Amino acid sequence: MTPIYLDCNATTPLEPEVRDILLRFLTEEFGNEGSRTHEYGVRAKQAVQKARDQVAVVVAAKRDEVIFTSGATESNNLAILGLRAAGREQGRRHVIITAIEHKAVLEPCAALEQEGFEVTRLPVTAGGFVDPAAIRAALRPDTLLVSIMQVNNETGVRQPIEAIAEILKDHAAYFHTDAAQGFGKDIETLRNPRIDLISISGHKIYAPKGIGALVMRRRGYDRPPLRPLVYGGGQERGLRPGTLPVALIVALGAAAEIAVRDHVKRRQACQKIRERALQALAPLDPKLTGDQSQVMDHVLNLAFPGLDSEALMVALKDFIAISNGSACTSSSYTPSHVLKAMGMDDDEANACVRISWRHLTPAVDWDAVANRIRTLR
Amino acid sequence: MRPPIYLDYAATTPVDPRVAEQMCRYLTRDGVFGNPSSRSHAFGRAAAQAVEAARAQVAALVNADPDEIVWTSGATESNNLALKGAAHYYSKKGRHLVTCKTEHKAVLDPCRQLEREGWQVSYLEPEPTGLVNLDHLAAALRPDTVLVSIMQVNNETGVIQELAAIGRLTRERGVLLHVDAAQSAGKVSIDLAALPVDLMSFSAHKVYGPKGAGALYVRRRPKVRLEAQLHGGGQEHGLRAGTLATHQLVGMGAAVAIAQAEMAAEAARLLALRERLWQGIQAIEAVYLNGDPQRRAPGILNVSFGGVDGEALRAALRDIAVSSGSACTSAAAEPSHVLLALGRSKPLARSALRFSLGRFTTLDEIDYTVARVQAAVTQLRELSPLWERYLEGMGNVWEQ
Repeated sequence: MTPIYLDCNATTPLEPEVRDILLRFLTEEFGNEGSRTHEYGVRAKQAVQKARDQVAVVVAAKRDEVIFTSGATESNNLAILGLRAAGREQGRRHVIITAIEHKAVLEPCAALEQEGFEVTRLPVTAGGFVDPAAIRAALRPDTLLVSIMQVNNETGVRQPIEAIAEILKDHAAYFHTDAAQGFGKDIETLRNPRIDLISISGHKIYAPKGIGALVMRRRGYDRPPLRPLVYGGGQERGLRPGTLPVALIVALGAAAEIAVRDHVKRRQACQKIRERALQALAPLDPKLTGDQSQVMDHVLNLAFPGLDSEALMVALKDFIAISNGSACTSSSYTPSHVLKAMGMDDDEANACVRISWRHLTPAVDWDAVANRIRTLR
Repeated sequence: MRPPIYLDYAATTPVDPRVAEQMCRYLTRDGVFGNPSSRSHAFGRAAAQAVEAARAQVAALVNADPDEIVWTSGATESNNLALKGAAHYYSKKGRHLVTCKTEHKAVLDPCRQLEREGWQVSYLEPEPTGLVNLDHLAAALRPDTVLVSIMQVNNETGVIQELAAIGRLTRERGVLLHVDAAQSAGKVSIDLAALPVDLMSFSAHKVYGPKGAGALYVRRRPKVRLEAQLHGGGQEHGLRAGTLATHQLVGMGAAVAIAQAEMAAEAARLLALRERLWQGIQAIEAVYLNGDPQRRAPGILNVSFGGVDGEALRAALRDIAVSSGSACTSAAAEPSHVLLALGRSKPLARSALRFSLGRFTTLDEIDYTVARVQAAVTQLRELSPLWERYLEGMGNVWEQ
């Protein structure tokens, strides 16, 4: 029996509408957008520009503020390591992040640290979000960058991006948010003009894997002073050279547009799934992770007292496919750094599973799931 | 209006329908769409299996071990990882690199960046044929030389370098050899068990795979080490972080498997077509073949036309999609750095057309192209002051 896929925070299947567009640009509209000498190249260039607009509009940015990358990991690396040179030149070597960031933020920050930068890793509340006052307290005159994720990938808890933007109003620090889990889902937040840098992932919003973007908002006429990580060819204003993967870009553009168009419908569908799940599981007395008023509609991180997550995933594997944390770290057996930062001990953290779905997730037999869990007790 | 005849396969290729069909199985809900890093369920494990099968296909193309293949977003990233990754990792040994003036920007630009960071780079002058002079290379190697980077097939001229000889030299001197094989993999046979090459960059979209996928071969015996350029997530043994794009990698694997199976027959077919194209163009007075007449990849023909402006020629050939050189630099009006390095004059470098033939090129297309080029060159020369001076007996005035 094929289980129902409930790991949409790890990756999502392609939006059916996007598939045909992707396919057309693979086989028919295949030009290299760098080719200026013929129609194939010109058409590819036009398609890329349209996709740039489609992505930009979601976050109220301009087309020339969108840089396409291979995914959110690269976007995060470009945002963080790209500021390294400016930080050195300006003598601003302090970075503020939270303890619950994704590895794709934690690791580039650790690389900065090895090169003499100072990184402040703020704790989070038991509810799973950073206290904006802690950011105010951590700010220093030499703070170069504040990087706070929009939505945590393991708990689905929204971070107080607007409050942080307000605090940063009078500070020169660049404000970056890893929006891999929130772009196209929690839409209004990212339109805040104080956010300088936004990392976007395609495959979390029903676009293909292998494509992402970094939005670099200008302040007046000034672009964030990023330097490239990759050199050669001059594409994306020299910030991210390499032949543009036109088909992937066009697919991301289309998925972004659909995300805005269907936003309300999708949220409602996700809320319904959440209600049904909670209804069936409530009698088992689950311990819900994170402040539920801040959790995204499509995520449920929970534990059943006395049950280990590994045992739970194995027991449920014929019903639902779930995970116990980030896919990027799912091969390691160390307890989640996110849950530990929320104050859990190893046993508590090891009990948690993440269930994440989407608007098109087929009906789950939650009663069967609940019954299976009952047998484990 | 029918679309122009596509003769720019060196810039990019369409995805082969057989490849596209494979890719489609790894995208949607009814396919294998999982995250290959998801170890906790079958969706992830199936994706991981597909990624490993594709890795084996890429390894098989060049007779390498699958463990020696690292996925990237394309040859530009592969070149950056190889050059900067090796230079940084081995910086204690020395800070000197050697490359050639005719390399792609994706090699030259990382070299420039390393120069800004304090490395020294020697840029070899090629022979007029485009080939690297082995004596010059030997003379350029120093005790602090960490790496030599030489492309296998030049993207503008198609010239094939003598990798075996170059590799013998670098191996003897204990220097790493990186090869940009974006234009050669899947087109000329490569045996990395025999070739003394340490790092090799591959691109999918030059061999009928998708754009946005590539790989870097990193030799294991003797082991080559690199400093990662992207951090976070631990994929690819920590060498290249980021969610693996299953359908892209499946596409690359399928594309190279087809290229490998059809390589011999396709090379012979393309060579015959290219010879026919060259015979037709050669009939025009004062044309110049760029690059070695023999050692060239079968699909590429680069020709300069005396007394003709390249821009005007391409405009006159609007129904034929050709380029003046690399797509990555085709926005710039500058004459090709490759042709200048081969000793061509600026007027001749500016007049060059690169014809690159591929899997879907037909005999009719070639014959049509020959007729159109002959007519366009004749017509443009009627208006050319340079051509007038040539006719007045002033010699090959465009050679200065």
